[in-house]
Order: sequence, then C-alpha cells, then structure tokens
Amino acid sequence: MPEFYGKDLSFTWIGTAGTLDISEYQRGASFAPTGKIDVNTTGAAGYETRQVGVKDFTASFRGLWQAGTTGTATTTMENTMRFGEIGTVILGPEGTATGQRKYTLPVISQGPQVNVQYDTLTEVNISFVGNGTALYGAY
Amino acid sequence: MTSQNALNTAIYTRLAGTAGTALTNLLAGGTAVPSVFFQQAADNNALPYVVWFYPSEIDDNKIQHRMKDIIIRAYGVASAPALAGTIDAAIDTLLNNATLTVTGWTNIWTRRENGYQLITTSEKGVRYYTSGADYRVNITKG
Repeated sequence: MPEFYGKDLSFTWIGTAGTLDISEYQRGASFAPTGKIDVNTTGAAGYETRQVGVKDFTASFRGLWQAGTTGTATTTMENTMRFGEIGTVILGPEGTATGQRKYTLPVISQGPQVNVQYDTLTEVNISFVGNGTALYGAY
Repeated sequence: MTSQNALNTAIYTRLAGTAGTALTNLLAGGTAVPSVFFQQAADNNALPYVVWFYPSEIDDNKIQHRMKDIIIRAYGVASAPALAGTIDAAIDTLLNNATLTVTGWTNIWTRRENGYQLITTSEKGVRYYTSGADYRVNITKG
C-alpha cells in the first residue's frame, strides 16, 4: 500500500452555530489519542501490572486564513469555532470516498489562533480538546 | 488556462497607460503606440522602450486553491543610463505594491525585489543602457 499526501484531507466542524467544511483551506490536521495507564498489582503481588485508564485525545487544524469581510468564510470559521465552543470534528485523513477512515471527535474548541505577517501568508491554527468518546469509523 | 496570458494582459495594461502615462511619455512610441513589449522588443524599435518577461513561475501548492509565486522582470532600455533609470523608476511606481487585475485570479502581493543596471553594445557600436528590476507577484485562485 502506498503512502499518501494530505491533499484530500477532509475537516468538518459541527457546532451550535452550524456546520463548516474548511477542508479547502487546510494545510494539515491532527488527531492525537492518549490514554492513561493505571498501575495495579492484581494477581501479581511482586510485580506491577497495568490496566487501561481514562482515555483522552486532542485534535488540531492548521490552514490558511482567507481574506474577506464579515460573513465570508474566514470570519464564519472564527465565529463558529471560537474559544469554548462545543462541537464535533469530523476528520478524514484520506478524503471522503466510501470506505475511507472517518474520525468523529467530540471536542471543545480552543479557538483560532491568528498570526498575521506583513510579507507572507497568514496561517490559522485551531486546537481542540477531547470531550467524550472518539469514534473510529468509515465514510 | 494558466495565469500567464491573464497576467500578461494585466501587466501590459498597467505599464502601457491605464494606470497613468508617466511611463509611456518617456518611451519612443509615446502614449499612442506604447513601446512596451513582452519578452523582446520589436525589430529595430526606436529607443527607449520597456520589456518584461518571467524568469520564474512557481506553483506553491500550499492549499487546495491554486497559488502562484511569479517573478516578473521589467526593465527599460535607453540610449543613456540616466533615462534608463528614470524609466525604471516609472515602472517601479506602476508595479511596486500594485494590485494587478488578473482575470480568474486574485493578486495578493506585488513587490520590487532585485534591481539591476547593465549595458550591452551592438556590433555597430550602439550602446543600450538597461535599468530594471524583478517584481514578485503572488496570485491565488478564488
């Protein structure tokens, strides 16, 4: 099986203010699951054994800020995913063709971070904190 | 269609008079027949004149939208170095920080970068004083 570039990556936000597909602006996205591993000595008093504890994850989006005035794609993105917004990220690393991996991630947005430069493109970065069970599905 | 033809139209209309006649008034053809040429001046065209071409055109491939990072080299050719420099300054006024109207694209950056002067001498001993610069033009789709 071949490696792949992220050119087909699909990133959709579903929040209280609406659904927003920002795939066309993306330069990358991440989904990073973490799990707490608890220690116990059940059944092996002389050795530590372990059990899966609470699971968690983070997600992020990195893209290019689009020029425009209020009401266009950029401000809509900022308004719908502002800090503290609760919603769901739908992430498809290889696109939305039938059978491709689809992560459904309940999250809380930490809001778009904007870093404007005089002589280069403006990136926007958004971090999300997990807020429930991450689902590993398929389109 | 790629951007080149549309950008050529934008540059010609910019340099040949729609943004003002300060440049064309300096050239051999005046405002009536602007001596502004793509790639190469017409055969035996009288001095002075302006030429532009593209040393570099790069597709950025940064997001799904097409984006291009283009270098335009624009220069004046004259019979005296001072006049060539004056033409270069007039080109600078028209291109540096300009927003070019490129059909199908949005021009997001146009800035002068490398300026230069040089002289060439024909077989007949005619000296051609050249003064110009490279301009970086960034355009994006939609």
